[in-house]
Amino acid sequence: MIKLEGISKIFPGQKHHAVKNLNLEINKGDVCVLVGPSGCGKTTTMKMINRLYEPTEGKIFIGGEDALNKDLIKLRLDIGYVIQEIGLFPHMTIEQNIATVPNEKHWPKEKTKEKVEEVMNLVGLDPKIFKDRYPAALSGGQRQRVGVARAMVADPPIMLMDEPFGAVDPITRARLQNEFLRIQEGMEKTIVFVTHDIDEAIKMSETIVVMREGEIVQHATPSDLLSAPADEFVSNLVGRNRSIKRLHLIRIHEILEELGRVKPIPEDTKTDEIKKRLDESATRTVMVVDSDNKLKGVIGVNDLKQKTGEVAADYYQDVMETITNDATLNDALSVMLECGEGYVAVVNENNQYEGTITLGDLLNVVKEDS
Amino acid sequence: MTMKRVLVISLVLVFLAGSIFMTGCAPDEDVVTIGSKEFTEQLILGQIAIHALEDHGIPTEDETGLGGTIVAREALERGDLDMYWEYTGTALVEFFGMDVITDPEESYATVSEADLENDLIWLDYTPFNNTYTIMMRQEDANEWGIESISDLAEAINEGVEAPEPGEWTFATDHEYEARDDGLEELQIHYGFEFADYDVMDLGVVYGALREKDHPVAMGFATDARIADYNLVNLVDDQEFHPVYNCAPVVRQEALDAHPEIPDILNPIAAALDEETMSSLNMQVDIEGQTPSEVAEEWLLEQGFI
Amino acid sequence: MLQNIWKWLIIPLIMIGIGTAIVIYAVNNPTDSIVARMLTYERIFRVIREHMALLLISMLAATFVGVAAGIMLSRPRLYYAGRVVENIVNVGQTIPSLAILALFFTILGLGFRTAVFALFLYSILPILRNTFAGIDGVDYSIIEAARGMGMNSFRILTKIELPIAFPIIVAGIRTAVVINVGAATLATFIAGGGLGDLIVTGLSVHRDMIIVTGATIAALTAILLDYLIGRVEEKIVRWS
Repeated sequence: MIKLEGISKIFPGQKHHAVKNLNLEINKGDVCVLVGPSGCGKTTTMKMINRLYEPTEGKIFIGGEDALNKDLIKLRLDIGYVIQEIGLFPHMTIEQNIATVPNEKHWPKEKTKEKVEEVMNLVGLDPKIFKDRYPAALSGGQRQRVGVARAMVADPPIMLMDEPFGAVDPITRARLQNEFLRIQEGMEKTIVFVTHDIDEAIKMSETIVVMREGEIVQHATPSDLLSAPADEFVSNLVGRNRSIKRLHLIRIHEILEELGRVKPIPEDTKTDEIKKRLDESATRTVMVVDSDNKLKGVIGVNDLKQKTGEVAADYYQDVMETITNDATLNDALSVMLECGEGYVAVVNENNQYEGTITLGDLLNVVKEDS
Repeated sequence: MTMKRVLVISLVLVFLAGSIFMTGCAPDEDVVTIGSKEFTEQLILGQIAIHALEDHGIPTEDETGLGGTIVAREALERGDLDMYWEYTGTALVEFFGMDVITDPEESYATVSEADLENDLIWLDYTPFNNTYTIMMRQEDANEWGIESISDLAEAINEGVEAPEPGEWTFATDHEYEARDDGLEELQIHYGFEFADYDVMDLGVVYGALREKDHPVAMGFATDARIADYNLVNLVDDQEFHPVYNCAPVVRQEALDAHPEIPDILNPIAAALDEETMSSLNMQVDIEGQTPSEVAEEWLLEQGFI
Repeated sequence: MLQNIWKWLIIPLIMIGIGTAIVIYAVNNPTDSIVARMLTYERIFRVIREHMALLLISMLAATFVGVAAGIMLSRPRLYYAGRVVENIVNVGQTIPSLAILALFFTILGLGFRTAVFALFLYSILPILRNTFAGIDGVDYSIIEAARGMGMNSFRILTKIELPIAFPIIVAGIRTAVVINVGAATLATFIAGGGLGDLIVTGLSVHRDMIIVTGATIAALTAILLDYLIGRVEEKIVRWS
């Protein structure tokens, strides 16, 4: 889909190459992450794809077309672009911001409106609430979502993302990453993603390109990168705790089925039954669900001792934090550490209970690996 | 060392104080102290008197450029000055609290008589009258045959075509527009009306006339720019403007010591008409000569010294 | 809605009310013949009309030229020229308005047009400076996002840079208007008319009532225009 051939870039007035004779091919539907320390040329490489920087040498093909001879505006209108600073237009409402590319493409108003609402829903912003707000009234995470929505509203086959989740706190970042991966699953866009965070690179990518001083050091799948770093630079970048990093690579739903967990109990379960189920449970807790399998709460051993009642509905308390089944095991670990519990409940998008992941499960994965 | 310095400084101070004391309180009976106000015309008049008297062997002391009217007058009354040039209109209003008079002779007679009891003698007054004037460009005045304000009124009333820029308009400063003896009354007095008028700063009125923004303008009769810009004062033939002729005012004691002073200054005053005064002002204001040079040169040229 | 309009109008109405009251009082209670001659309804309306003409013509031209020049200087090609001009403008602003007036009087002569031209030049300065600063101050990431999404530089200027710089440009216009109302009172020195006629005449004949009438109307005009422009800006800029 994207092919860089012998690309070099020397900025005016500088002696050294910012990017030096770089060859790279990215397949359709892949997320390719460029990673490396600052000044390694990863951002420069990305910005040459939509020609914010013109390459000094080399060729760029997009979908087989010579990008360097294409009309600049047309080229850019078909490439989604998200940057770390987001660059939302402060004087436009969220709706107007997201409609930027459709307006530049002169879409009919109705179509634009529909599409804007569609992507807002997709990134988890309720159009009714947010459409007419200005960026200043949004939180950092919400702005990032708008940034992503704005980049993909016109359905570009390619998206360039320059540290798109860099400016938010770690929890929000993990959530945004997961949402984005979920969206990407349905879209199959070709994505070039720049980050300096190796964990993010491992989590997001089909292939990782490690760069240093304008050149590619290694281009591999995350798994290969972890098991066979090309040189010391890469292994330093990846770090010592490679097995824990592997947690980034595994999604919760991949291991959930194997685990064959204790089943949740309905709200009208009798006390005796609850006791029995608690004894069977490794974590000494059971989840309570309603008739629609939606998670209502959790009952621990202490709850039975401290409260009096007859059925589960009398005992359960709220669940502090849940995780969705498309999150990685590393996300699950983060939540457990955050809440100080040895487990976390897994739900799907509709808050329906799917299972429980425990600290023990994570240890098993790490052990198997090493 | 410090002792020495203190001694030197005190000696200097004592000497300075002594010299001030000597000159301030015990003037030489013979010396005539001559003063003036601080503007150009007054400085020139003061220098004219100094040069003329010195030429006739009367020792003088130069105290010209004193400040305003009040300062000069009080110095004269106290005897710190023996003479300075004063305007009849100013004396009338400022010293005697009377209304302005538009007849030169009457104005002079009133003030000179009133000052007799102060032992101050008004010598003969100048023909020049430093008051409001109505001006035209010299060449227009000649071509249209206009010499007086009455001529102007007649031309306007008869519908004669105006000089450039083609309409009988008028340039005035702010004060002349507002005054009771200003533009409005002038037109009533002479029975005519300008087609229109513009109000501007006094400093640019003369230029507005020269640059032909207006055919007629007001000004002050002895201003240097009248000579410089080749403008002409129209005669106030119906005596509308109050008069401000100028005359040397001398203390009686000085005249007693030097009885020849009136004979020296009277012919000089008689020679100072508006054109002359404006031209002398011009030599200082525009050509940059000193008042003393201009005064001496003129006296020589006129054969007064 | 009706309440909103009231809110908008209340301050202008108070200003106009105060002005009218002072004019009526001054015209009907002259202290002497000079004041009576200078303060007639006809004369007061004439100088207000002249003042407004000086102000509006010079401001319209200055806004147009100032914004255009500010935009031009903010273009990358002229950017360093822009920095230089910005400094020149800052120095220019320190020249007293009377000096500017005097300068153009010697070149262009007397009258309304010279006064308008001098006011125009003087008013360009804050507008140009603010336009340049406003555009220059737009966050680079915003421009880059716009470029990356396929906007050309003209679209970026009209859709992004100018709207974002708008409040700063308007602030420049407000500054210029307030300066202009004051500076226009000097037009009277070169036969440009306006409220300065009253103020300078009052000063030259020592009649406080004439000075106060002229100065109050000028002050009220400045406050009123500043307020109205501010209100219009508020209506347009809802995002900050």
